[in-house]
Amino acid sequence: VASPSRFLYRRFASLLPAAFRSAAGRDLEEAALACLERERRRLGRPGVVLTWMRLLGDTFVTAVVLRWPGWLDRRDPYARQRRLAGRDRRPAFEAFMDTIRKDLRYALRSLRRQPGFAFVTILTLALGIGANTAVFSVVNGVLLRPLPYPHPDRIELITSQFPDIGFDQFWISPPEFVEYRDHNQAFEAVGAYAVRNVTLGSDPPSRPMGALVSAELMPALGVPPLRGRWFTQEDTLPHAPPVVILSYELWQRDFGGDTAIVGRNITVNDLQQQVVGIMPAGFDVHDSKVEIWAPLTLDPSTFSDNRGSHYLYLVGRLKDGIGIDQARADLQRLLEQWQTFAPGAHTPSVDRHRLRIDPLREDIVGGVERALLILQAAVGFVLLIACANLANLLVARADARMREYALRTALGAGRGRLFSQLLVEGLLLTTVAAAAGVGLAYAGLNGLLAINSEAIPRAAGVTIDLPVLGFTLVVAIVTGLVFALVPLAHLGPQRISQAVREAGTRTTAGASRVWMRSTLVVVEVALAVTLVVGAGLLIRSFLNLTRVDMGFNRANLSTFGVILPRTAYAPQQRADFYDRLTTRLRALPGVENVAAMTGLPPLRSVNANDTDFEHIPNNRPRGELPVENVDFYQDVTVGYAETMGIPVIQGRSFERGDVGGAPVVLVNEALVRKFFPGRDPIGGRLKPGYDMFDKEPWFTIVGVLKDVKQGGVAEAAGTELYVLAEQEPRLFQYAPSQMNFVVRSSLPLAALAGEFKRSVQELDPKLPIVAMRSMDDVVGVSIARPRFLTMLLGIFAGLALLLAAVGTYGILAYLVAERRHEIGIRMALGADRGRIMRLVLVRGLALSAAGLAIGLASAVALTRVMASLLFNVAPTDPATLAGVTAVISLVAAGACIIPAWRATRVDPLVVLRDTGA
Amino acid sequence: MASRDIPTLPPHWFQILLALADGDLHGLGIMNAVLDETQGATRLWPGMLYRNLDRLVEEGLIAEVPSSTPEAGRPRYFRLTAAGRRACAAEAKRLAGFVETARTRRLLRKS
Repeated sequence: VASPSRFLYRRFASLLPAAFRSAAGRDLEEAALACLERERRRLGRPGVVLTWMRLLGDTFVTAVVLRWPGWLDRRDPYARQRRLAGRDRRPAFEAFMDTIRKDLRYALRSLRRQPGFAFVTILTLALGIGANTAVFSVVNGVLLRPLPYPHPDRIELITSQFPDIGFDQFWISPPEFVEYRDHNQAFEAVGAYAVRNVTLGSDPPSRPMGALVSAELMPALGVPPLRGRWFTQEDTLPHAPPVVILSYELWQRDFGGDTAIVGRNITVNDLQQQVVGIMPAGFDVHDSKVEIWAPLTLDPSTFSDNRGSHYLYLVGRLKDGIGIDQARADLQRLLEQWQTFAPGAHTPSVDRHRLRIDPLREDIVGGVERALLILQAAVGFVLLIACANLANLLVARADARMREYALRTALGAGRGRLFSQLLVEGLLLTTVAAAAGVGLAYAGLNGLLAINSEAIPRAAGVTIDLPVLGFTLVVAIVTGLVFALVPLAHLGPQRISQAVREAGTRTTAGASRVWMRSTLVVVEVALAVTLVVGAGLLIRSFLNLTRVDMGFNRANLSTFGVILPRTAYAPQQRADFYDRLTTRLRALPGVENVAAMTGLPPLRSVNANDTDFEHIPNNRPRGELPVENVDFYQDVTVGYAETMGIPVIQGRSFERGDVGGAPVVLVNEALVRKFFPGRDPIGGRLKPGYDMFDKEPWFTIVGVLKDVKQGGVAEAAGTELYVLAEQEPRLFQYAPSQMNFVVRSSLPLAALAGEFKRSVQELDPKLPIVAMRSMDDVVGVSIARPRFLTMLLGIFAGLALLLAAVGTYGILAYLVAERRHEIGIRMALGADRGRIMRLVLVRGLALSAAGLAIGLASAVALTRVMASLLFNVAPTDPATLAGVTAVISLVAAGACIIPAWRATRVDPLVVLRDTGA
Repeated sequence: MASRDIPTLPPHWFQILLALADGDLHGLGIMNAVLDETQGATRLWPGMLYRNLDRLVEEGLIAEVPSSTPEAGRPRYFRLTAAGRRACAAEAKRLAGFVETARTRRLLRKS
């Protein structure tokens, strides 16, 4: 009786050509067992595992080398010498190519004979490989590729933290920037930047993304300008002549790549500004898609007054040899000492006002890392299912070709020959499939990115490039090997000799073979169930997101933005312009209501403005800031709540009479909860906290509006304060330079867009109109990332389900075909059709049920990693699990019903006649 | 084959020939001998060993010992041929040359 080790090694050795095996005989096994014993004594159990891996590798290499001697030639001096001496008529390499050519021709011929098989195989694999290629190209472009700066691992993002107000990552004020830049000892360079759209040109104007940057930003990022120069410290001084630097992309698009643009003036924000440089292609900071760079003006004389005005992010390049931990320790030291060089209330400190340092890369991609890895795992599952299906298909095909193999073996073809042939055949199929897969990935990727470019950071860098193609190649080769090995493992020597003996008669399904194929089906159903549960959870979570009450009625609502240049419009003129535009828009046919607001819900950046409440006593000395902080300030026009459909909870909304009347504000429920607990807010008074010298009036609260989402659909609505824009010019010589108009109308945006444009241009033909969208689209963009993830995982789960259904169908159809004889006899003996049908159905449903059970169990274990991606759904959501169970059962029943029905169509007479009984 | 025509031997061929220079051995014996001789540095795995033995037989450097008692399961013994002995000696001489050079450059002490 052979020991288990001997038995296993025999399996390995069956890869080797028969001639070699019979010559080496038992010696080979003895040597292998001796190796195992030796390593066991030397290293124990791990040694045995290692030795098995070595033995498998050794056997594989030997099989390949013996099959294609050319491979060995390079390292075999004797063979080389013989060839060089011309004694060997046929160089080994030529012989090798000849074999490959023959195998290839044979493979092509046998595939052409079964075009159906070839098509299904290639399609299945192409889908699996294509999905993997597409997702890997995203993973590669977003996660794996380093940021496009020299030594990107040394670049860190520096932000602020206010634990008391709950801000974990906030901006930094100019004085804080200068102090940190000058006092830290960890960074080679620390630069600051703030991004905002700018108006470029005037006829017609465009709105590219711009950045205000300090002179140190370029040294920190380490990328010199392509042409011209970067900003100097002088450029950042107050009253310096205005200069800008263009991005390569803007230079190409708007200026045709004209090199003479450097030194010329262009119009930015209605000011003539000199172009002093052009940055190289792809240069950006924090994936902000900045196209125009301008110096950040730093005026130290104002620093003592604007310590609280946080609007900068800092980017630093660590000194060589300094790690992020050392930088954090250095920061901690600074936080402890900050008071010594910048005394005052609003100074960074260890507890209430911290700074933090994070790797820039992590900050950019950290939010999608988990989602992308989950997608990669999902497509890995899809490929596994595809492979399981193909393995089943191949085993069936190997059965069908048993006679061919038997004949070839009888004629002297070794197993090595079969091996090489199957390998070539497998590689041929997978190569074609990989090529088709890359095509699918390319098309799919472009489509996905086109509709979801907002969903992932660094989307511009996602391409199918060399590393991605390399990945595809590896996937294809591994799949090709599986192809070659599965049927070979299945075709033991006994099976072939049995087939030779049985010559023409059909072989019946051996128990082990059925067991193996059933296992494959169970595994692929389980994999599909896991994926479908994951997708189901995401879909539910996404539906929850779309059903979130935003606080306003977004149906029939359109929006667009107008920007008034400060140079051409004084505050009162701006307010007048908004008023005239509102009147014009209201007069348009089909328009029900119009209003304007500064911030566009449901996703905008936080304002976090310090605010004084009259009823909250603070004994702060004059000149220091209050601790009460309101998340969102919103400047709106009269009729705002009515146009947006925001319910008034208490009091009233703004009225026309307020424009010339006493200072009034509206607040939201969250603000009432936070600052008026157990108190009537109506009649309460407050004012913006940045009024440090008591110049501004108190505002009286006249109404409470329902909470509107401003910080994101999935987030709690923050505290919000509504100021009446029409009051601002009179009260503090101010009016917003940018407004988002909202128009409620039963007409679709497409019918109104032209009218909107005309209305604006009749008032001022030079004004840019930006972001004209329906409010539904605005909300859609704010949940683009979950939508992207849900869509992809949904597609992959659907694919997995389809493949698993095909697999279940395949095994049942095969079983029915195998058992035709038995079924015929049963029917001849009086079994009715219902009984036969049940027989097959039970078999198929039992397999699906096993797969379902395993799949649900593994889903419960695996979906835990998704918890952070879900919204209002638990990873073990019973409704999802029940839904998936129902769907899988339905699909399984669908896949089983056709073979079962076929079984009932078996004609006993025909069967009995065919088998020659 | 004149000795100057003898190509450099691959290290594991040299080790196999060296092991057989001491007397006839079967595959497992060669494996253990090489392992001992190289203090465990050269491990010959079964497939590698037997395909190299086949090559050595093909090149006439070793020969299989004809079995006097033809019984199933008896291991195959190999013997060094005259050509094999020459090749092994030539390789040893070549290596000895390197050792000599190493000595003159004071990398090795005289043993």
